[in-house]
Amino acid sequence: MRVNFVTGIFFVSALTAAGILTTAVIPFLATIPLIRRKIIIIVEIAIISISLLILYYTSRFYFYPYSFRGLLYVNLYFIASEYIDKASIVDVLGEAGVPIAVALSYYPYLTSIVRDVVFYSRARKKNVFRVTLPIIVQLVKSVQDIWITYNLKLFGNFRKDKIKITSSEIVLLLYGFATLCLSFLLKV
Amino acid sequence: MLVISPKGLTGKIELGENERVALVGRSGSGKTLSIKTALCLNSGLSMIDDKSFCETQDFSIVNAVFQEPNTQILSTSLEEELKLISRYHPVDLELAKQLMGKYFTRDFFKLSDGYKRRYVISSVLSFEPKYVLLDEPFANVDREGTSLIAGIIPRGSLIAEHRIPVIREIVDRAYVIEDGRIEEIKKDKLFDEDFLRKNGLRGFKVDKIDTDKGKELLNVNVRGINLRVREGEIVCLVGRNGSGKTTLIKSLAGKIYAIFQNPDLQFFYETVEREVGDDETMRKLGLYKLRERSPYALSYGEKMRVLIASALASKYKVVALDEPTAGLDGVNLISFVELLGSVLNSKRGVIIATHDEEIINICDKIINLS
Repeated sequence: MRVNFVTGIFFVSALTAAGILTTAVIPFLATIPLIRRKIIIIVEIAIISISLLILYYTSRFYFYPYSFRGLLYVNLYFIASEYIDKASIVDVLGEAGVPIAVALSYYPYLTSIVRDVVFYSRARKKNVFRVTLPIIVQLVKSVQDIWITYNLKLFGNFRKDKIKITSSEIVLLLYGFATLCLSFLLKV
Repeated sequence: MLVISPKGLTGKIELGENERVALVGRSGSGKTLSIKTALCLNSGLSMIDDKSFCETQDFSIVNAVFQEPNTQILSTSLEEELKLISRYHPVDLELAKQLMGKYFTRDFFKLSDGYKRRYVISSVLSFEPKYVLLDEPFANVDREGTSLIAGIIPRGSLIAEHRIPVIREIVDRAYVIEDGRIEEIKKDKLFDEDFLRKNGLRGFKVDKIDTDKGKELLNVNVRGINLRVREGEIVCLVGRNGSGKTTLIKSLAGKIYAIFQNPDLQFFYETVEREVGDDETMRKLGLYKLRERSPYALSYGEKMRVLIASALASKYKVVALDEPTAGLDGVNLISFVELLGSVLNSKRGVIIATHDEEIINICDKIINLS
């Protein structure tokens, strides 16, 4: 399922608003079915469980909305990356939208770099704080390569295309609106 | 005709519209530099039909594909990427669909290595440039991936590559870069082992390492395979990309010292000295003079040397290497095999995951995962 950038922004805005104005539990749970990578869901459940336990035992349980809110924003980035038609971003924002479209395409690569470096550091029993060095070096190299690719592929005169509305747009907008309403109705 | 004269090298490379030309040479000899010169990303001359390409820099005429496919995408599927590119200039969607087949709409990060390369090449071919420059398109790709890529390289291509046996079958002419000089050679030379060895190129099988086998160092059952390694022994894991070679090595973490494919992700310190952490090992492996250097600034062969030195300085008795010869030229390949000799002579065992047929000779035992 792919939706255009405008629909994607409405959906992300609806859930962000729900996350800010409520405890963020409902909007966070609403994002889970839209995440395709199981490993992300497993890690998030672990993070939530650990943070709730820590808050409970330190008598600061009232901070729990911040845990859900943080992960909600992470999930919204993943969802935007997965479902928004990248070409529609440039149709809405013009050339200024190209870096956003490209950045949204690279999250699987970035997560794979981080996962690999963390694995290698653990396998060699290195201090976990040492992982920042290879990650930064790799990111700088990648940015240089992406810049060259950007220049080699996107030459010529830019022209926008019309935004198309499909049934997917309606489904996602309804899903976002329903989540927003439920967040206010069910005071979790 | 595209003519490239990179700054710092003597001679020139000529590429006609109707031919495929090989560009060979040792690591760091100037192959990538020549490609960047053609694109005006580096100093030198790039001429098309006697006119400077750099005045127009029209990438619909000359374009390139570099070695690392992961950083040459603009979207998550070829279909989406071409939609994005079509906002700038025309693309032939039908051609791209033909080249990628059922993988046209597939998420890039779910493709095999062969198809990842095919994705980035198809993306460039879809806007039909007259000349395409390919920098190591076959590096670290198995036999199936190799034929997938070879099948779509068009005429008007310059192919810079270490894997001579693959490209000599598809090119019409060849250039070699040696000691800062670009020289045209007859295609037959790419079949001549003496020539390849003399010029530090790949394309010959390496000799077996003669060592005494000692006691058993590792005996594990992993993923349904009984893996046993003795002192002085090289066990090779072979199989196509995605057959589970890397996963098998990863599952042995903690029992062995594993060296994986991208060296840059495996350096955690700013200098070679801190990375290896042992003066004697550095001296033994010829790294002492590089001890103040950053490991990231070294050549691929030197980086492998640092990683192997770290393995030797560790307490582990079995060292695993995942596709260690992917970026090595002929000289570095021989030096790598000598390095393996040092590892074996230190009463260690080695596991190598590879689909490089040129090093199969050195394996004492082969486990096929396909």
